[in-house]
Amino acid sequence: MAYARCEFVVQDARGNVVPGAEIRVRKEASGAPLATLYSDRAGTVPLANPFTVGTDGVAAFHAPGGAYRINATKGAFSAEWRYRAIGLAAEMDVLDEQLMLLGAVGLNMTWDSSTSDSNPGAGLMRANNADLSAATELYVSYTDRAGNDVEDLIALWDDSTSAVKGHLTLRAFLDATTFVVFGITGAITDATTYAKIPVSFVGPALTVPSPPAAPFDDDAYVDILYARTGNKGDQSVTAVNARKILNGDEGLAIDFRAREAAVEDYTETLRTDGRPEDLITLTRASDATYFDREGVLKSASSGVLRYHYDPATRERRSLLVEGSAINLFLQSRFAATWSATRATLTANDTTGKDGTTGAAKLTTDSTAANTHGLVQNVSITSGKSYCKSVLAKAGSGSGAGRYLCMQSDSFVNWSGTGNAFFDLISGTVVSGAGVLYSNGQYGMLDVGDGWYLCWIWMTASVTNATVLQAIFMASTAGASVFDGNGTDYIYLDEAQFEEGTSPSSRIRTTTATVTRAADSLAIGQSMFPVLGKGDCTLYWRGRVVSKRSTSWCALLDARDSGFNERIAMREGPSSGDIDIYVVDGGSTVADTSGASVTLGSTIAIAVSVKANDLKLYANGAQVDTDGALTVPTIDRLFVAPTDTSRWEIDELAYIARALSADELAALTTV
Amino acid sequence: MLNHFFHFDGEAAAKEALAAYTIDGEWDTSRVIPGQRVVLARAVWDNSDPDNPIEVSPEQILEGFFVTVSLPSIDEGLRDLPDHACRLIGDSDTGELVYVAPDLDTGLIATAIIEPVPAGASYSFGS
Repeated sequence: MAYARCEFVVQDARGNVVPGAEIRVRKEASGAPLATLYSDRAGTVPLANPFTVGTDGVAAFHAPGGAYRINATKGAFSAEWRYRAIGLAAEMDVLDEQLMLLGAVGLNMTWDSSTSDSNPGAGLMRANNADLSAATELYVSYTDRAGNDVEDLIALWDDSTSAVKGHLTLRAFLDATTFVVFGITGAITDATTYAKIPVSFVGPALTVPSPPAAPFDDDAYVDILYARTGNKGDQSVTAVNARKILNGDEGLAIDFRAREAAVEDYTETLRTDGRPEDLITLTRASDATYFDREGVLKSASSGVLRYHYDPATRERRSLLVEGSAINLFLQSRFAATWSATRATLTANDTTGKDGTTGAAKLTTDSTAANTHGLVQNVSITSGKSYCKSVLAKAGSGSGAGRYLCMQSDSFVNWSGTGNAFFDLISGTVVSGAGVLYSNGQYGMLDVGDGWYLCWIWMTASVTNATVLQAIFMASTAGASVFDGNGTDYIYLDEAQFEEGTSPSSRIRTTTATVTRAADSLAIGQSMFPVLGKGDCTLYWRGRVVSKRSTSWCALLDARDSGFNERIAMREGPSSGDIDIYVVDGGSTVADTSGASVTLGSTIAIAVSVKANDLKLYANGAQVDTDGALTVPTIDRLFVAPTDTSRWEIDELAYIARALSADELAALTTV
Repeated sequence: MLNHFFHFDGEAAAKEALAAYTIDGEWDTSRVIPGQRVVLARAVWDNSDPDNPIEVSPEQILEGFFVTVSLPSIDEGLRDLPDHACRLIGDSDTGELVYVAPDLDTGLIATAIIEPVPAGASYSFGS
């Protein structure tokens, strides 16, 4: 601890130096106690109090910051100084870049009046709207005005689990009357050199200062003060984002990203805010895996919703729902069953994505001019597509320690054969041969910590109970036949062979094949009164990651118990169709489609239904209408993916009113 | 979960008996595992040459249509379906069999493999 220094020359009223004066220092506090003094700045050498100055009359001491009463006496001479301020703050320039922002975690930045979503530059920040009352994002450099790296600090600002993570006060430097307050409304995006902070304007009313909406001049110094909100508790959830979807209408809405649910029913005077779990019953009679916010592969128990994250970027990816799937590979962690061919398989060798030492090591042997890998038999059915996937990681790092090869096989079981080579260092599929590669029937996904999910898919041309499936090493791109050196190795984990054209969440197996049951969501079953009001709008926002392989299944299914009354928003196997299927009194009264789906891209879909007026909107545009239909009476809502369906759902809603065209366009704008 | 395991002659008979576990004519795969297999013995292959695998001994399976219905508790109506269609009920949390059909060969339980099993189950039946 360092202490400030107080030093002065003791002089009488005529200005004469008073050598040998006695100095007594007291605190300006009740009882005026003697202060603790030191002769050194570090506070390691105590100084007597009182003490006597030398022949030069100089009095000097160090003391903790505060106000002091100092008396000097010698014979008839006496002098007193009251409220003498001593403290380290006096050593700081008021323009110092490390100005303390008491009571908050603060940053010192410079305002940039441009509004583009790009790096504002070191020490700069900007908003995405010149009118700050309409701004929804702040762009803040990871370097503050003093040149400090503040990335780690900013990353903490969205840690609260509340819908509003905290508040940011932007204050003009040395002007406490010029400020703007924002709420942080979601996860902060790491844009490498700067942060993208989602915000909503809180205040003030901006009548002053002038100009009201843009209080900070270009290049003005601005301080950011941050105040965190507490974690969302189990009670008193305020569904701010879900209520934005309802926009005052009756109905129910769920925002899975914010983990909020809201119900509004004026007839029943029912108004409920809560979490999605409060409104949803999930039926899934098995465990299922997902990546958590730390990128760790976790297992959710039967009936538990899966909020998953991008395992590499840790970005929140909303609610994961999947159809059922079977992993036909035994021993998905390579403990046994696999036949190592001209290679050595070492199970439980390294840390896998689940954090346990359960991943395997595959090492080439010394055989020349041949393949080196693992094989296992599976059963396939003619006409079905199958996806083979595995988590792989570079091992020894060069040659066969860098590449993975997966191929359909070299026999006659597939309608198109070929292979793909995966570079486990660069994270790219580098080359291949045959139909498989040329048709793009492969994929590679960074799942963090050096691991990649690698996959190929192919369609069976025969039914065969014993088809050999291989996972090979490769010495370079395109060379699965090579001279083994006995030392190169790669890591493997979580192998999966399933129906479909893309990999689903990991399904771990040992001695038997294992199925992951479908996620089936029943929504608002205790809220029936809010449903069944006749005219309505169904709304779904999210991503279709994988489509169903046959016929249709419901993204959102509003119906009665017997499918005689139904409004179903469905996705199907054709290239990009969303279908609206309406049944009234057991008869189909509308079946319209037209919304295109790009796999993996966010789509917002809404359909409004009233007598002789159906409107289907997607991503802000009308895609179809139907002018001749009656309105079914529904009393329940479901989300029901089947077989190879895989969705990430951000939001969904049932609104008890047929929204207008403008409202539908606004609701579905992505 | 209590996994009710059934044996029927074919899928049509299974859907008729377990209609409550279908949706619009299709199995409710959130709680049903249709088309399971009972493997009496796995095939043994010599894969030393992946381009020319050699079958050492063939796979042996039971004939019929097998299906599991997973429920939070035992459904006595399902358990007591005619002809002992319900063959086993296993608790996937504890790994214990809580019901075995009276005409089931207990030796079979010890050796046969039922697959697929539900993810996360303690493999309550099958080896």
